[in-house]
Amino acid sequence: MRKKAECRDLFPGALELMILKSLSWKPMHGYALVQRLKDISEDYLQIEEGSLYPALQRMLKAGWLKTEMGVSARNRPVRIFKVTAAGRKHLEQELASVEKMFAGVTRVLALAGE
Amino acid sequence: MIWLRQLLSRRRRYDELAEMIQEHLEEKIADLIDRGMTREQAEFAARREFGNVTRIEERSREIWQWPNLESTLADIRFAMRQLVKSPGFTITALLTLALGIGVNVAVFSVINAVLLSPLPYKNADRLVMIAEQSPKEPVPAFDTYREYEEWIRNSHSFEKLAGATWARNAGAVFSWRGEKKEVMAVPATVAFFSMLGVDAVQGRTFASQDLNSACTVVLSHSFWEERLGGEPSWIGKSLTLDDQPCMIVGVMPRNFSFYPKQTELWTLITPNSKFTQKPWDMPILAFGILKPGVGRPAAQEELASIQRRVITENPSWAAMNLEPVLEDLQSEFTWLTGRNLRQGLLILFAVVGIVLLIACVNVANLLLGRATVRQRELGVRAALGAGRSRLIRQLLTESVVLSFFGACLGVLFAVLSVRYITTKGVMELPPGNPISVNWEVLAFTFLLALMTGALFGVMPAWKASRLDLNEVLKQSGRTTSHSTFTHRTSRNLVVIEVALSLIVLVAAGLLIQSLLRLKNAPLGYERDHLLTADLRLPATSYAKPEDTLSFWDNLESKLVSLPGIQGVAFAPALSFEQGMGPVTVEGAGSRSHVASASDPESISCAYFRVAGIPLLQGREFSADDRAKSVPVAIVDETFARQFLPKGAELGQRIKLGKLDSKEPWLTIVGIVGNVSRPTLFEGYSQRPSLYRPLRQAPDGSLSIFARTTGNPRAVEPEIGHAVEAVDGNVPVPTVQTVDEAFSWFTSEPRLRAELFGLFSVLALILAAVGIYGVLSQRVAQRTQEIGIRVALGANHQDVLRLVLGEGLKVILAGILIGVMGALALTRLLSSMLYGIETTDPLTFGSVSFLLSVVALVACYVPARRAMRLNPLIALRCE
Repeated sequence: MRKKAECRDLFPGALELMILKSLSWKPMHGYALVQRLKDISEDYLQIEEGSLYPALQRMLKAGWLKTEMGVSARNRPVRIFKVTAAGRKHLEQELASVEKMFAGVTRVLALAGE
Repeated sequence: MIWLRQLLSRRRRYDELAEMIQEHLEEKIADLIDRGMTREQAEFAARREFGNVTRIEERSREIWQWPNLESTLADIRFAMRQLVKSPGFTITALLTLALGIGVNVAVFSVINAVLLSPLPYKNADRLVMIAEQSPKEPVPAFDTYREYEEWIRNSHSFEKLAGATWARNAGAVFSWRGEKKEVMAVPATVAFFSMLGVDAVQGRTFASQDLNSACTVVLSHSFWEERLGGEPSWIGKSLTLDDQPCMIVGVMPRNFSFYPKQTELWTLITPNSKFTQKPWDMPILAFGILKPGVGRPAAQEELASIQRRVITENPSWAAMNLEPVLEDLQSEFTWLTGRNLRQGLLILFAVVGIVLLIACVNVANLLLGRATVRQRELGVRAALGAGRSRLIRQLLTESVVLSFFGACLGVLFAVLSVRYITTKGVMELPPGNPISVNWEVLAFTFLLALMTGALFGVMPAWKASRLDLNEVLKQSGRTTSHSTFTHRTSRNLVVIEVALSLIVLVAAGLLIQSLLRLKNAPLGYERDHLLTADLRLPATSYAKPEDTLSFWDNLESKLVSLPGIQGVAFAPALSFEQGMGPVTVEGAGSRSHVASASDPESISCAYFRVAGIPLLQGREFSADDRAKSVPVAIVDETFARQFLPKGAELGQRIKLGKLDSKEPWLTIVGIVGNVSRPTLFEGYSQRPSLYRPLRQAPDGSLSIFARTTGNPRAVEPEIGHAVEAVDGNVPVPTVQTVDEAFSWFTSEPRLRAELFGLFSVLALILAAVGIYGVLSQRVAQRTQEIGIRVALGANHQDVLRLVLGEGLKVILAGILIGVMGALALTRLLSSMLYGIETTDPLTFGSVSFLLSVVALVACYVPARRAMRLNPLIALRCE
């Protein structure tokens, strides 16, 4: 199956990063999280709904997330994902390193051709 | 322990996961319906966009799993089921492994305690023993207290220096409630206990203020408990040792021991101690603890320079030009206790290693046989998609499970043998750590089990997993095509097995022969019907030589009148060789012969006659050789040959000590035959010996030697009564035959010969079982072929020749390789052998013969079965 040209593979850890950021803005259940990511990325990024779950489990195992019972917008009982203190710390570290990486890439792109 | 909690909460996690996905889908479906889809359309769309639910659930679950661990657990469960299903195979393999691993664990627990664990003293790695010249020679480190003080004053390499005796026969007479007992009392210097960093459990150890008291003792825990009832009130009181009151200052902890282990109490060496007057009476060794960072060579060099200076200042001390030598204490302990204990243990370890190898070969053969049977099962697994490495992993799991259970049984076996070793006292063990199956030993066992499992499992697994799927699945059950290959492998394994057994057998044969030669070695005297009993007169009541002499005279007249006793004499106890100071021969200039002679021995007139030592020249001592008459001596052949002018031996005068010493000139009046003395090494030596008449050189500690006419046992109590009758204050001696008195000397070689003998029998049985197993399997495989041969007219002899011939080839190849291996390896034994070469052709020949016979018997059983095959039945199998 060919991917659309504008859909790129994410770098390792990018999905986790986006999940953490979204959830630290607001705790959400799985479906809401997918919708949110889709809305924001405006189809630039290809995120399959299902593939989110292994990532969520990985993050639960690492202790960055925890689940709580809550209700959805439709008043259904659902499991809400929340960022833990460890997750917040991880997010900060990752953001810092990602910024550094982007800065580096931008600099190289700007100057490499000169 | 997070992983453990995760492991336990997994079921809940999985349920939760399924619910989450369900919630997700329902939310989405509701959303889609809101956007105008029918419920059906919405469900379909939601699932399509979500992806494969089962697959995603599976991938998410994997996050919580260890796939390797789980499949390994499954493999282990499967392996156990397989083992239970074939109990015959399992029991044989388990017993073989348990024996193989068990003996290894037992030997390792001894090695761990004796050679590997540090001694239970503080800073054990810095403790050294200081000997003169060589630690292997029983030469005391210092022979005057002054010399010892010089060392302490001038050396800077040591934190502490201490002295203590290592003599086996150190002893004192302990008087207790009217009874007199000889106890093992070891003299030690003030710093001895503090050097070891071990404190008393009651009271204290020696302190410098004790140097002013006449006698101070520290008790061992067992002495305090068994002889004094374990009362703490004994501290500060005194007990009577050699008729002298000695103050008890402390009791050592229960597990404290030093060499010799049997020590019951320690007496304090003071500047007035006995050994200062009589250097050779009590060999004192020096021990020290090096300062951190100081190496042994540096400390040794320092002591040597002190020694050189002391000798030039006091020429009279220059008895021998000896250089101090430092040895680390632990290796010295093992040497003192067992001479070759270290080497012996390592060789024993190698031998049990070989036994384990043989056991592995047998189990590998069993597994090969099973693999042939299980080919179909493996084929099905392969057909269902199991790769070769997966099959190997499963088979290896089986063998490791097998060796693990074998090891568990082996540990049980080892615990029993360790208990036997420690309680029965089968071997003399150096002081230090008790031998036990501890955590270190268990860790070793676990590693050994893993290695063993891999060792015997890897090859059969490799072979078994080489499958031709089509072939295997086509066949209905019996397999033949694969078995020639398997057979060649197991035949090669048996060759190895025979070779290994031969090596162990040769080693055992050499040690057993060596033991026999040691026991039957001519000693220069007659040891049949010869009794010996060590006597020690209390020093205080026998201070005057006249009293000592009259005691011996009275005892002699009492003993000779006893019925059943042919002759009685007194002489120093039979012990291993000891050194002697310099000897000066008159007229040989100022040159003195140094060392290398035995201690001068004070003997009663009848000694040579009673002991059966032949007089070669001159005369024996007589009653006329008394204190006031000309000092005389008798020497042995070796002495005469080495030191005396040829042809003029009799009448030659010699002096013990240097030319300027105050010792009297002794006139040689006779030459007697040589006597062999056990050495500290294995075997005997003939050192130059010199005898003096008891009347001219009175001695308070001698042994009774009595030649009996009949059963030596019959006169035992009589000897005790006689001693009591002469002086009730003299401790009643233990009477032994000379052979018994010497048994400690052959105990090491005997133990070694027994152990090697045991292991070689084990190896022999395992090899026989291996040969039998391979050949019977072979016969079973060739049933058809043999049937055809018989049907075509082959008679019994032909069939027998066919099977035996195959076995014979294996045996001969094994023996050939084994002989070469043994020739290369038995050299390691050379220091433990007495009177036999490591390449002794008789041993090699007889061992090869024995092995061939046993192996042929193992071949004969399957051969007979082949011979009796009914060709009709054999062919019907087709």
